[in-house]
Amino acid sequence: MKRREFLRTGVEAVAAGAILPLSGFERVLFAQTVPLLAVAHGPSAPAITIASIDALGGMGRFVRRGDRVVVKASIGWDRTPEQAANTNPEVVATVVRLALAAGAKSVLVLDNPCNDPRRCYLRSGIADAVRAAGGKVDFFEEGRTRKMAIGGERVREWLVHPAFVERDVLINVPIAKHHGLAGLTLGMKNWLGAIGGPRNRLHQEIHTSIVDLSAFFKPQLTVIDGVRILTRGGPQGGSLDDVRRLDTVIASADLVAAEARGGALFGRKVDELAQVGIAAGRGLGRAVWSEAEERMIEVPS
Amino acid sequence: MLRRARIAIQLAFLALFFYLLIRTVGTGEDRLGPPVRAFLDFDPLIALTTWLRTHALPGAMALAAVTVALTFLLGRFVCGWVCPLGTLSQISLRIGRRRHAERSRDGCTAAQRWKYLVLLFVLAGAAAGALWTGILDPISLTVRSLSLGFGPAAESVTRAVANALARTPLGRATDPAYEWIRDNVLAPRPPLFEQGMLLATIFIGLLALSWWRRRFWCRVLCPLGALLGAIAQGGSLALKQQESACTECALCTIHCQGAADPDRMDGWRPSECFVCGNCTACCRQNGLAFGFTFPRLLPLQQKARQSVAALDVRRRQMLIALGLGFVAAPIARVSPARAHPAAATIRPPGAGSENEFLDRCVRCGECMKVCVGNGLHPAGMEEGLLGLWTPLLRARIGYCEYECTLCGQVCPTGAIRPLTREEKERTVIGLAWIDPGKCLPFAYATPCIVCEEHCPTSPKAIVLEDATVTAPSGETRAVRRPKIDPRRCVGCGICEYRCPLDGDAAIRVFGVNRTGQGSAFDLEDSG
Repeated sequence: MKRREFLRTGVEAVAAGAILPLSGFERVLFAQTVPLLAVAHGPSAPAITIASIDALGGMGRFVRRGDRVVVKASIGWDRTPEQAANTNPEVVATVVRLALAAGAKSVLVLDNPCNDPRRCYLRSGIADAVRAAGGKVDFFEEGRTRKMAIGGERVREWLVHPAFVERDVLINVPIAKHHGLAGLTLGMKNWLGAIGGPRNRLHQEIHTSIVDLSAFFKPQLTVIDGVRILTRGGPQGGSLDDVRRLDTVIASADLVAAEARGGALFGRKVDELAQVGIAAGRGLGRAVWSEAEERMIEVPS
Repeated sequence: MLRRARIAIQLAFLALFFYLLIRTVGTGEDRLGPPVRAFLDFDPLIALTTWLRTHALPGAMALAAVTVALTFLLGRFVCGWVCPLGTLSQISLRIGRRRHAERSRDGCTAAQRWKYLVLLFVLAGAAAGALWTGILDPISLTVRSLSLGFGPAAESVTRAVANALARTPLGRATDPAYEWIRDNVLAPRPPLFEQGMLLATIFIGLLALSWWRRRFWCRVLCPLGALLGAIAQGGSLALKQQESACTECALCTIHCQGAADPDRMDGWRPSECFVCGNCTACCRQNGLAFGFTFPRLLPLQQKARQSVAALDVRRRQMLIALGLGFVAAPIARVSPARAHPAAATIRPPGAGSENEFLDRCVRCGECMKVCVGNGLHPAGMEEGLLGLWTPLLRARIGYCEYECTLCGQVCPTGAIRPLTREEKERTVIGLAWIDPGKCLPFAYATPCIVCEEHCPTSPKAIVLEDATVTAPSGETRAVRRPKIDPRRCVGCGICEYRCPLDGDAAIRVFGVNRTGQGSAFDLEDSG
């Protein structure tokens, strides 16, 4: 984000804050200013990432000056951005830039990959993009994980990397992908990359497990990368034939709504995503919303 | 002067060796940076035996000719100035024995001829079908011992200390240093190797032998030292001894590293001399100096006119060593392990058939060190003595990273051919099979599919089949069961590695086409 844009957003926000309480229509206006969900579409990944977060009220709504921000991107596989197995590096870097512009003291990006972490960080393009954006990239150190009380239905306690807990703001930036067991992997399954230990045992009740983890981590913001989605052969793909270019980014403070809207990228209805039903049932967020609560933004090049 | 220069250069070579060893590590890039296998490329014993065994020489090994030429000119300078095992033996001596304990004359003994017999045994073996080189070659031995024996422990201790410090207020200061070390020195994930303790113990033992006889390994056992010694014997390095200055104090021979008898007029042994420079430095009369002579050229039986002692090996002993080499090679080679390779015989991608592979592998362990999936491990005796410490994929401990090609890049002899990423993706090293008595969806109607998730081929070699299975409770459930497509599976073993069950995985890989005669699925392929 350029400084001018940043200042303009700031001025707008302050102006809106000053006018709103006076207007008498604040509820209506607020609903229009800050939708539950923002879906931006356009050819430029950074531009649609900015547009979707701006539509939610800007990064300033989530990040305050001096905050320590942690971004959980999907960096699980030794694949290139074109293969759509990891989050688009431009989307991740843009989130990092926005957080720094909003005054974050530090922005840390990390994941616990399934393939060689060095190859994943490098070939995904994420490490370089994040560093160029001024963020910090760290490798997931199994030796730093600590057993924490998850308090879930199935996951009661587990080894968690403290970076995801000892922070002010947690932003989830997954990519939307097909998955052989979970059906789709969107925001919720992304938390498997924030934990250590025998993660492969969580698959036996995958939906309950990922809802347990989502409830534990509670990200303030979810940004789903739908620039390219993987429609088959997930979660690591490999073939460009399985990739579809959607040029879309979904942002929401509601992790359940984001998950449900992510499913819609694949034409899945809300009741086809087991994890959404479980999470909504636990009151983690909303699985249904009105048309007015979703804002679509078209960002031409 | 010579001695000081030698010590400085010796330490510099040791530092270079450690630097290259440390950089034999996956950085995330497709190609490794510096020539990490350089010490092995310059090793003439590896080059000679590889050529004897295969009648071909990988291009980089031509560098060994440089070593031969320099040795002809400068004697066994490799042993005194370059070889990391020699330097470490020297350091071990300094630690284990007080300097002033050295008082008596330390001259050549009959035991020093053993190394020539070891060399002849190895050369005869290489000619007759068994490549033993790697077990005894000092460079292979050092790389293997440090990488597989000491490395994992050093990495683990480093990580443990750093992670403990990170929990204290000191962490803020130590973390940046640790991150640098982790990202530039350590492996991507903490490595573990089979037989690590054994390899480290053997290495410590060899170094400790120096306390009993100075540089015991180099003087008595080293086949590379023997080869270089034979070249030096015929070469042009000479020790100019001023007979009139000699007081017979024997200081030169007390401090001689190689036991080359520098105090014997007309009896100095070029084949044993490491050119360490201790004799010229300690002679109080300045009666000794290195110089050059017309190449002696007759390495074995020379006359006293050359002012050097003959290579002290008897013809009968040489014939026995050669004979044993020729006899032992076919005995080792003709074994069921080669004719009927076991399921566990999964070699790195780029290895030919079992015979082609064992004809080249020098067991240096570079492939295992560099393996980012920590999948390659030194074989024990299950493959026979010829397979000892050669790399096997142990898919329960690690796996072969689908797009990684590093093992072929570090292999000095072409035992593992270098592959491009595209070639690697098509290279089949094994095949997965499912144990339905153990696999969760098959045996217990429990959802899992972790193997399918990790399968790296595209389309996946593990396909999912919808099935209705009766659980042990009697309840019937719809599950997705994995199934292997043998035309797509490359045998990388990540499925076996990630299988969540305890003990043996419910999906396992076995080696295919180890005899070089194709696999059971080839016919189906052509149809």
